[in-house]
Amino acid sequence: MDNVRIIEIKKSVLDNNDRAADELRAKLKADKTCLMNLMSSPGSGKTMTVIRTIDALKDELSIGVMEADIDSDVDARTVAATGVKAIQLHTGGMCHLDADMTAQGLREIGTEDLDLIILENVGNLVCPAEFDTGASFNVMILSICEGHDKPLKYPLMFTIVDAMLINKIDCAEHFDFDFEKVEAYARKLNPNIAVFPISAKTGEGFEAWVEWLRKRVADAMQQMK
Amino acid sequence: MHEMSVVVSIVDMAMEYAVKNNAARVLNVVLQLGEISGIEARYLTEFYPVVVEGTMLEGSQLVIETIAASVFCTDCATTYNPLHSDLKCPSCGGEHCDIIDGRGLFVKEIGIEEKSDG
Repeated sequence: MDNVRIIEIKKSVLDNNDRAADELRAKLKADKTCLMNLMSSPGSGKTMTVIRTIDALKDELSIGVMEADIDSDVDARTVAATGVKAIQLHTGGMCHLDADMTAQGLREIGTEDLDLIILENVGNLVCPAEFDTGASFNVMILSICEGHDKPLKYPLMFTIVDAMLINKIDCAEHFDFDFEKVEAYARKLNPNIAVFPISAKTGEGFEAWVEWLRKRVADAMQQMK
Repeated sequence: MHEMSVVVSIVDMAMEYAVKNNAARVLNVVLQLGEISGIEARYLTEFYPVVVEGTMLEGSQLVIETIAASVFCTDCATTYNPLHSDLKCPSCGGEHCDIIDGRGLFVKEIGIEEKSDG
Protein backbone atom coordinates (compact mmCIF):
# COMPACT_ATOMS: atom_id res chain seq x y z
CA MET A 1 0.00 0.00 0.00
CA ASP A 2 2.72 2.52 -0.88
CA ASN A 3 0.13 4.66 -2.61
CA VAL A 4 -1.49 5.55 0.72
CA ARG A 5 -0.79 9.06 2.01
CA ILE A 6 -1.80 11.33 4.87
CA ILE A 7 -2.80 14.83 3.81
CA GLU A 8 -2.53 17.42 6.56
CA ILE A 9 -5.42 19.92 6.48
CA LYS A 10 -5.73 21.55 9.93
CA LYS A 11 -8.61 23.77 8.91
CA SER A 12 -11.60 24.88 10.92
CA VAL A 13 -14.86 23.37 9.70
CA LEU A 14 -16.72 26.59 10.46
CA ASP A 15 -14.03 28.60 8.61
CA ASN A 16 -16.00 28.86 5.39
CA ASN A 17 -19.02 30.24 7.20
CA ASP A 18 -16.95 32.65 9.29
CA ARG A 19 -15.27 33.96 6.16
CA ALA A 20 -18.62 34.39 4.38
CA ALA A 21 -19.98 36.19 7.46
CA ASP A 22 -17.04 38.62 7.49
CA GLU A 23 -17.50 39.33 3.77
CA LEU A 24 -21.17 40.02 4.41
CA ARG A 25 -20.36 42.46 7.23
CA ALA A 26 -17.96 44.29 4.89
CA LYS A 27 -20.66 44.58 2.23
CA LEU A 28 -23.22 45.84 4.74
CA LYS A 29 -20.71 48.40 5.93
CA ALA A 30 -20.23 49.61 2.35
CA ASP A 31 -24.01 49.85 1.89
CA LYS A 32 -24.38 51.59 5.29
CA THR A 33 -26.94 49.01 6.40
CA CYS A 34 -27.20 47.56 9.88
CA LEU A 35 -28.26 43.90 10.23
CA MET A 36 -29.79 42.65 13.47
CA ASN A 37 -30.00 38.88 13.96
CA LEU A 38 -32.99 38.10 16.20
CA MET A 39 -33.15 34.62 17.72
CA SER A 40 -35.46 32.79 20.14
CA SER A 41 -37.47 29.63 20.68
CA PRO A 42 -40.58 29.10 18.55
CA GLY A 43 -43.53 30.93 20.07
CA SER A 44 -41.58 33.44 22.15
CA GLY A 45 -43.21 36.37 20.36
CA LYS A 46 -40.53 37.28 17.80
CA THR A 47 -42.88 38.48 15.10
CA MET A 48 -45.02 40.59 17.45
CA THR A 49 -41.88 42.08 18.96
CA VAL A 50 -40.60 42.89 15.47
CA ILE A 51 -43.88 44.59 14.53
CA ARG A 52 -43.96 46.77 17.64
CA THR A 53 -40.29 47.64 17.19
CA ILE A 54 -40.95 48.66 13.57
CA ASP A 55 -43.87 50.85 14.69
CA ALA A 56 -41.59 52.67 17.09
CA LEU A 57 -38.79 53.27 14.59
CA LYS A 58 -40.24 53.37 11.09
CA ASP A 59 -40.51 57.17 11.00
CA GLU A 60 -36.80 57.62 11.64
CA LEU A 61 -35.23 54.55 9.98
CA SER A 62 -35.84 52.75 6.74
CA ILE A 63 -36.40 49.15 7.88
CA GLY A 64 -36.54 45.78 6.12
CA VAL A 65 -37.36 42.37 7.59
CA MET A 66 -36.22 38.90 6.55
CA GLU A 67 -38.29 36.12 8.09
CA ALA A 68 -36.60 32.71 8.19
CA ASP A 69 -38.65 29.58 8.69
CA ILE A 70 -38.55 26.01 7.56
CA ASP A 71 -41.80 26.57 5.66
CA SER A 72 -44.75 28.98 5.08
CA ASP A 73 -44.79 32.75 4.55
CA VAL A 74 -47.22 33.62 7.33
CA ASP A 75 -44.67 35.74 9.22
CA ALA A 76 -43.55 37.75 6.19
CA ARG A 77 -47.19 38.55 5.34
CA THR A 78 -47.87 39.68 8.92
CA VAL A 79 -44.82 41.94 8.94
CA ALA A 80 -45.47 43.29 5.42
CA ALA A 81 -48.81 44.59 6.70
CA THR A 82 -46.87 47.22 8.68
CA GLY A 83 -45.75 48.73 5.38
CA VAL A 84 -42.05 47.82 5.57
CA LYS A 85 -40.27 45.66 3.05
CA ALA A 86 -40.48 42.03 4.20
CA ILE A 87 -39.35 38.79 2.58
CA GLN A 88 -39.59 35.17 3.61
CA LEU A 89 -36.58 32.85 3.56
CA HIS A 90 -37.14 29.11 3.56
CA THR A 91 -34.35 27.06 5.04
CA GLY A 92 -35.61 23.82 3.46
CA GLY A 93 -35.65 21.86 6.69
CA MET A 94 -32.48 23.37 8.12
CA CYS A 95 -32.61 24.44 11.74
CA HIS A 96 -30.61 27.66 11.35
CA LEU A 97 -29.46 30.29 8.88
CA ASP A 98 -25.83 30.50 7.86
CA ALA A 99 -23.99 33.39 6.25
CA ASP A 100 -24.61 32.16 2.68
CA MET A 101 -28.35 31.91 3.21
CA THR A 102 -28.36 35.36 4.82
CA ALA A 103 -26.42 36.80 1.87
CA GLN A 104 -28.99 35.33 -0.53
CA GLY A 105 -31.77 36.97 1.46
CA LEU A 106 -29.97 40.32 1.46
CA ARG A 107 -29.61 40.17 -2.33
CA GLU A 108 -33.34 39.57 -2.60
CA ILE A 109 -34.41 42.33 -0.22
CA GLY A 110 -31.79 44.80 -1.51
CA THR A 111 -29.68 46.60 1.09
CA GLU A 112 -29.00 49.93 -0.64
CA ASP A 113 -32.01 51.88 0.62
CA LEU A 114 -32.33 50.27 4.06
CA ASP A 115 -30.83 51.53 7.33
CA LEU A 116 -31.81 48.52 9.44
CA ILE A 117 -32.61 44.96 8.42
CA ILE A 118 -34.09 42.68 11.04
CA LEU A 119 -33.33 39.03 10.43
CA GLU A 120 -35.82 36.84 12.26
CA ASN A 121 -33.89 33.59 12.54
CA VAL A 122 -35.45 30.11 12.74
CA GLY A 123 -37.11 29.52 16.11
CA ASN A 124 -34.47 27.50 17.96
CA LEU A 125 -32.14 28.26 20.89
CA VAL A 126 -29.44 25.82 19.83
CA CYS A 127 -28.25 25.86 16.22
CA PRO A 128 -28.64 29.53 15.25
CA ALA A 129 -26.14 30.36 18.01
CA GLU A 130 -23.48 28.23 16.29
CA PHE A 131 -23.51 30.00 12.95
CA ASP A 132 -22.39 33.58 12.40
CA THR A 133 -24.90 35.12 9.98
CA GLY A 134 -22.78 38.20 9.30
CA ALA A 135 -25.06 40.37 11.43
CA SER A 136 -23.90 43.67 12.94
CA PHE A 137 -25.27 42.54 16.31
CA ASN A 138 -27.32 39.72 17.87
CA VAL A 139 -30.44 39.88 20.03
CA MET A 140 -32.51 37.09 21.58
CA ILE A 141 -35.95 36.84 23.11
CA LEU A 142 -36.80 34.62 26.05
CA SER A 143 -40.48 34.52 26.98
CA ILE A 144 -41.29 33.99 30.62
CA CYS A 145 -43.33 30.85 29.84
CA GLU A 146 -40.06 29.14 28.88
CA GLY A 147 -38.61 29.41 32.39
CA HIS A 148 -35.70 31.30 33.95
CA ASP A 149 -33.32 28.33 33.73
CA LYS A 150 -32.77 28.62 29.96
CA PRO A 151 -29.34 30.30 30.20
CA LEU A 152 -28.16 27.19 32.08
CA LYS A 153 -29.54 24.86 29.43
CA TYR A 154 -28.60 26.77 26.27
CA PRO A 155 -25.48 28.66 27.34
CA LEU A 156 -24.04 29.46 23.92
CA MET A 157 -27.10 31.47 22.86
CA PHE A 158 -26.83 33.71 25.92
CA THR A 159 -23.08 34.08 25.37
CA ILE A 160 -23.23 35.41 21.82
CA VAL A 161 -26.05 37.97 22.10
CA ASP A 162 -25.72 41.68 22.80
CA ALA A 163 -29.21 41.94 24.30
CA MET A 164 -31.85 39.67 25.81
CA LEU A 165 -35.53 40.66 25.69
CA ILE A 166 -37.68 38.96 28.33
CA ASN A 167 -41.09 38.88 26.65
CA LYS A 168 -44.66 38.28 27.83
CA ILE A 169 -44.21 40.05 31.15
CA ASP A 170 -47.95 40.77 31.04
CA CYS A 171 -48.42 37.06 31.94
CA ALA A 172 -45.89 37.13 34.79
CA GLU A 173 -48.45 36.51 37.54
CA HIS A 174 -49.31 33.11 36.03
CA PHE A 175 -45.72 31.82 36.00
CA ASP A 176 -42.99 31.32 38.59
CA PHE A 177 -40.45 33.15 36.49
CA ASP A 178 -37.57 34.62 38.49
CA PHE A 179 -36.31 37.79 36.78
CA GLU A 180 -33.31 38.15 39.09
CA LYS A 181 -32.18 34.58 38.55
CA VAL A 182 -32.41 34.71 34.75
CA GLU A 183 -30.39 37.90 34.67
CA ALA A 184 -27.76 36.47 37.04
CA TYR A 185 -27.45 33.27 34.98
CA ALA A 186 -27.13 35.26 31.74
CA ARG A 187 -24.58 37.70 33.19
CA LYS A 188 -22.46 34.83 34.46
CA LEU A 189 -22.07 33.77 30.81
CA ASN A 190 -22.06 37.25 29.32
CA PRO A 191 -21.31 40.14 31.72
CA ASN A 192 -22.10 42.82 29.10
CA ILE A 193 -25.53 41.53 28.05
CA ALA A 194 -28.29 44.19 28.01
CA VAL A 195 -31.58 42.94 29.50
CA PHE A 196 -35.02 44.35 28.73
CA PRO A 197 -38.27 42.95 30.19
CA ILE A 198 -41.01 43.66 27.62
CA SER A 199 -44.52 42.81 26.60
CA ALA A 200 -44.97 42.75 22.83
CA LYS A 201 -48.70 42.60 23.49
CA THR A 202 -49.10 45.69 25.71
CA GLY A 203 -45.95 47.60 24.73
CA GLU A 204 -44.64 47.68 28.30
CA GLY A 205 -40.86 48.04 28.46
CA PHE A 206 -40.49 48.93 24.78
CA GLU A 207 -39.21 52.42 25.44
CA ALA A 208 -35.93 51.20 26.96
CA TRP A 209 -35.46 48.46 24.34
CA VAL A 210 -36.14 50.78 21.41
CA GLU A 211 -33.79 53.40 22.85
CA TRP A 212 -31.03 50.76 23.11
CA LEU A 213 -31.67 49.66 19.53
CA ARG A 214 -31.74 53.25 18.25
CA LYS A 215 -28.36 53.89 19.88
CA ARG A 216 -26.94 50.60 18.63
CA VAL A 217 -27.91 51.39 15.02
CA ALA A 218 -26.55 54.95 15.35
CA ASP A 219 -23.23 53.59 16.70
CA ALA A 220 -23.02 51.08 13.85
CA MET A 221 -23.75 53.84 11.32
CA GLN A 222 -21.08 56.02 12.89
CA GLN A 223 -18.53 53.23 12.43
CA MET A 224 -19.58 52.83 8.80
CA LYS A 225 -18.76 56.42 7.91
CA MET B 1 -29.70 19.21 14.73
CA HIS B 2 -26.96 21.25 13.10
CA GLU B 3 -24.55 18.29 13.12
CA MET B 4 -25.88 17.25 9.71
CA SER B 5 -24.77 20.49 8.07
CA VAL B 6 -21.46 20.25 9.95
CA VAL B 7 -20.90 16.76 8.53
CA VAL B 8 -21.65 18.07 5.04
CA SER B 9 -19.01 20.81 5.52
CA ILE B 10 -16.48 18.23 6.76
CA VAL B 11 -17.10 15.94 3.79
CA ASP B 12 -16.91 18.87 1.33
CA MET B 13 -13.58 19.93 2.78
CA ALA B 14 -12.15 16.38 2.78
CA MET B 15 -13.31 15.88 -0.80
CA GLU B 16 -11.70 19.13 -1.96
CA TYR B 17 -8.31 18.05 -0.56
CA ALA B 18 -8.69 14.49 -1.81
CA VAL B 19 -9.33 15.62 -5.39
CA LYS B 20 -6.47 18.14 -5.22
CA ASN B 21 -4.14 15.33 -4.12
CA ASN B 22 -5.07 12.88 -6.83
CA ALA B 23 -6.90 10.48 -4.51
CA ALA B 24 -8.74 7.41 -5.77
CA ARG B 25 -10.54 7.19 -2.45
CA VAL B 26 -10.41 8.47 1.09
CA LEU B 27 -9.57 5.96 3.84
CA ASN B 28 -10.11 8.10 6.92
CA VAL B 29 -10.88 11.62 8.09
CA VAL B 30 -9.40 12.82 11.39
CA LEU B 31 -11.27 15.58 13.27
CA GLN B 32 -10.33 17.60 16.32
CA LEU B 33 -13.48 18.46 18.25
CA GLY B 34 -13.50 21.00 21.08
CA GLU B 35 -15.22 20.00 24.33
CA ILE B 36 -17.25 23.22 24.35
CA SER B 37 -17.90 23.44 20.61
CA GLY B 38 -21.57 22.58 21.09
CA ILE B 39 -21.21 19.80 18.54
CA GLU B 40 -21.94 16.23 19.58
CA ALA B 41 -19.45 13.58 18.46
CA ARG B 42 -22.00 10.81 18.46
CA TYR B 43 -24.22 12.62 15.94
CA LEU B 44 -21.24 13.29 13.68
CA THR B 45 -20.47 9.57 13.77
CA GLU B 46 -24.09 8.68 13.12
CA PHE B 47 -24.60 11.02 10.14
CA TYR B 48 -21.20 10.49 8.52
CA PRO B 49 -21.94 7.19 6.68
CA VAL B 50 -25.14 8.69 5.26
CA VAL B 51 -23.41 11.79 3.90
CA VAL B 52 -20.46 9.93 2.34
CA GLU B 53 -22.61 7.36 0.56
CA GLY B 54 -21.86 7.29 -3.16
CA THR B 55 -18.80 9.56 -2.82
CA MET B 56 -15.07 8.77 -2.82
CA LEU B 57 -15.34 8.83 0.99
CA GLU B 58 -17.74 5.88 1.15
CA GLY B 59 -16.44 3.26 3.57
CA SER B 60 -13.92 5.66 5.14
CA GLN B 61 -13.48 5.93 8.88
CA LEU B 62 -14.27 9.09 10.85
CA VAL B 63 -11.78 9.52 13.71
CA ILE B 64 -12.62 12.12 16.37
CA GLU B 65 -9.94 13.50 18.71
CA THR B 66 -11.07 15.71 21.61
CA ILE B 67 -9.62 19.16 22.33
CA ALA B 68 -9.99 19.87 26.05
CA ALA B 69 -11.74 23.07 27.12
CA SER B 70 -9.40 25.66 28.57
CA VAL B 71 -10.16 29.14 29.91
CA PHE B 72 -8.11 31.94 31.46
CA CYS B 73 -9.37 33.49 34.71
CA THR B 74 -9.29 37.27 34.26
CA ASP B 75 -9.43 37.75 38.05
CA CYS B 76 -6.38 35.71 39.09
CA ALA B 77 -4.74 34.56 35.82
CA THR B 78 -5.24 30.82 36.41
CA THR B 79 -5.80 28.60 33.39
CA TYR B 80 -8.34 25.84 34.01
CA ASN B 81 -10.87 23.49 32.45
CA PRO B 82 -14.30 25.01 33.23
CA LEU B 83 -16.05 21.65 32.81
CA HIS B 84 -14.15 20.27 35.81
CA SER B 85 -15.11 23.06 38.19
CA ASP B 86 -18.74 24.07 37.48
CA LEU B 87 -17.41 26.95 35.32
CA LYS B 88 -15.83 28.64 38.38
CA CYS B 89 -12.10 29.27 38.77
CA PRO B 90 -10.69 26.55 41.06
CA SER B 91 -8.13 29.01 42.51
CA CYS B 92 -10.16 32.12 43.35
CA GLY B 93 -13.77 31.05 42.73
CA GLY B 94 -14.09 33.83 40.14
CA GLU B 95 -16.50 33.58 37.23
CA HIS B 96 -14.85 35.91 34.73
CA CYS B 97 -12.81 34.22 32.10
CA ASP B 98 -11.70 34.29 28.47
CA ILE B 99 -11.95 31.09 26.44
CA ILE B 100 -8.57 29.87 25.22
CA ASP B 101 -9.39 26.54 23.65
CA GLY B 102 -12.11 23.99 23.11
CA ARG B 103 -14.64 25.91 21.00
CA GLY B 104 -13.38 24.80 17.61
CA LEU B 105 -13.86 21.93 15.21
CA PHE B 106 -11.04 21.19 12.80
CA VAL B 107 -10.32 18.71 10.05
CA LYS B 108 -6.83 17.66 11.09
CA GLU B 109 -5.91 15.32 8.24
CA ILE B 110 -7.22 12.75 5.81
CA GLY B 111 -5.74 9.45 4.72
CA ILE B 112 -6.04 8.79 1.01
CA GLU B 113 -5.21 6.10 -1.50
CA GLU B 114 -3.73 7.71 -4.58
CA LYS B 115 -4.77 6.89 -8.11
CA SER B 116 -2.25 4.52 -9.65
CA ASP B 117 -0.76 6.07 -12.77
CA GLY B 118 -1.26 4.03 -15.91
